Amino acid sequence: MELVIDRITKQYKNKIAVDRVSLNLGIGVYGLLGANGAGKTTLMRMMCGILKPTNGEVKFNGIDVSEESYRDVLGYLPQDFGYYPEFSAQNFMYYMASLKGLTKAQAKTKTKELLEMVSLSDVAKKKIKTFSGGMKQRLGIAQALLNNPKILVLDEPTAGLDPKERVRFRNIISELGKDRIVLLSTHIVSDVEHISNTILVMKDGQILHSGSLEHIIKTVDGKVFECCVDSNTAERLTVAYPVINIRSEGENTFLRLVCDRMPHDTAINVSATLEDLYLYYFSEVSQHE
Amino acid sequence: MDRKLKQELKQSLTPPPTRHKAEFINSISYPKARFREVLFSQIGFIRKRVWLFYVLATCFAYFYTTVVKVPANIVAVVSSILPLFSLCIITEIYRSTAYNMAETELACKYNLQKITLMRLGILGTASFVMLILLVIIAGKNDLGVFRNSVYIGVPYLLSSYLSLEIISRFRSKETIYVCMAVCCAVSVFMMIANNLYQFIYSVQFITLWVGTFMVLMALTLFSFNQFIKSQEELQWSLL
Repeated sequence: MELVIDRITKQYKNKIAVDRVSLNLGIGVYGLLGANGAGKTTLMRMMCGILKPTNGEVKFNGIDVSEESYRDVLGYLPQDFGYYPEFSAQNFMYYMASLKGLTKAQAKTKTKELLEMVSLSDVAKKKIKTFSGGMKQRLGIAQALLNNPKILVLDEPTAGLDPKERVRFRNIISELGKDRIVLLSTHIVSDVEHISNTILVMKDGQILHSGSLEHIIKTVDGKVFECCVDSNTAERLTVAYPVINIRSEGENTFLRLVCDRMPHDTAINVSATLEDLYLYYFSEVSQHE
Repeated sequence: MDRKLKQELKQSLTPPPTRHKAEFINSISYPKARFREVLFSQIGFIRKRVWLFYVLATCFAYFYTTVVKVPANIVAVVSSILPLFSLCIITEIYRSTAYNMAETELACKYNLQKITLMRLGILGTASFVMLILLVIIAGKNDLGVFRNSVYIGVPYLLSSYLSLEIISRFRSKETIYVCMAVCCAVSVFMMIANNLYQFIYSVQFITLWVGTFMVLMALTLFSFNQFIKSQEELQWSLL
């Protein structure tokens, strides 16, 4: 089972959204990390055949992304998950099952099983327009799994879920990643940290880093510092470096920073986390925005 | 084997727990629904109000011609109903975009393009049947089937063409209200035209009617082709 993305590019007039991305994905969970506008959604849309690439190709076991048989093994949850408000959750699942080519009997069985999995069986007959954001998101995850996909693409699947649901879904996604290719994007760094076997860091349409958590973190090893300084120094340091954590400690201020060199005499070097790496790479984006 | 021995064996032998059951079930490829089954299943997903409108419109036309019996107005009544038929079709084929479902449907085996064609096939067939019924109803005047068909077809094609152009150019939830306004305007215009400009239905204008019919037919087909092509990928831009 192999998903090959070969020098895929998407250009909109003078803006390159995805720039010659090449990836070979096997079974496992891949976490796509990047700031807003990094090109994550465009990359995912091209992987699902929703957008046509300007250049390059996407193939799963030799099947091109534009073919019906590719879509037959694909499950997708878009970032802005739409729905027909007059449908009940059950009818919506039946409708999606029909588009995925499931027979009536399979649709019934799968709908029951998946609505139970996402804890929506009690409200299966209620109209979707009465659902909360989290319930709609759970329904979105359920519809993506209807055809038991071999490629599962989830664009911010945990957005709108409460912490308890998020942890539950993290476990479900981990389980699903055992026998299929799962690609997910999220702004919640801890989600990627907990679920992904491989982390892909994306910036300006390109993949900057890809690898395991330990491998990725190595790039910021020795660049994370903590210090407790007076308020004037704290103000100066927060302007100069990306700040991960800031809190008042009596008259002083505690800071956790990411920088190439020791920011202050009292600073101590600490071990890095994925959040540190995220801020190190994407702090300039938020500064510019 | 002896039944008693069988039972004793069953009781004394505990079967081993299942291993890799989920993986095994996942590895089985189940037979998929055939195209015909998918097509017919879509009938149930078309909104009930559409079917209700089709039935009510035909009943109204039938009632008007058989009970009220005003033959001179039959063509005007029927041709002002038909733009509303085209509105029904447009709202159904634009539904995915209006409710932000296009992206999800594009990633399905039977993708947005195929689903749009299926919906159009179903509603097109229903409209065609209704159209024949309405031509028969309208045929209760002395204009003949050909002239009745042309007089009825022109407003239908005009509203279809304009609506297709609108949904191809402006993609938002509110677009459908513009289509609604256009179809209603065509419908009202046909009613007014019948009262104020009755002469347009005279035989000397038939060539103009036929010409208009042919041009609108070509334009509608062209617009429809463009719309279906646009359903191949998500209409979205970074800029």
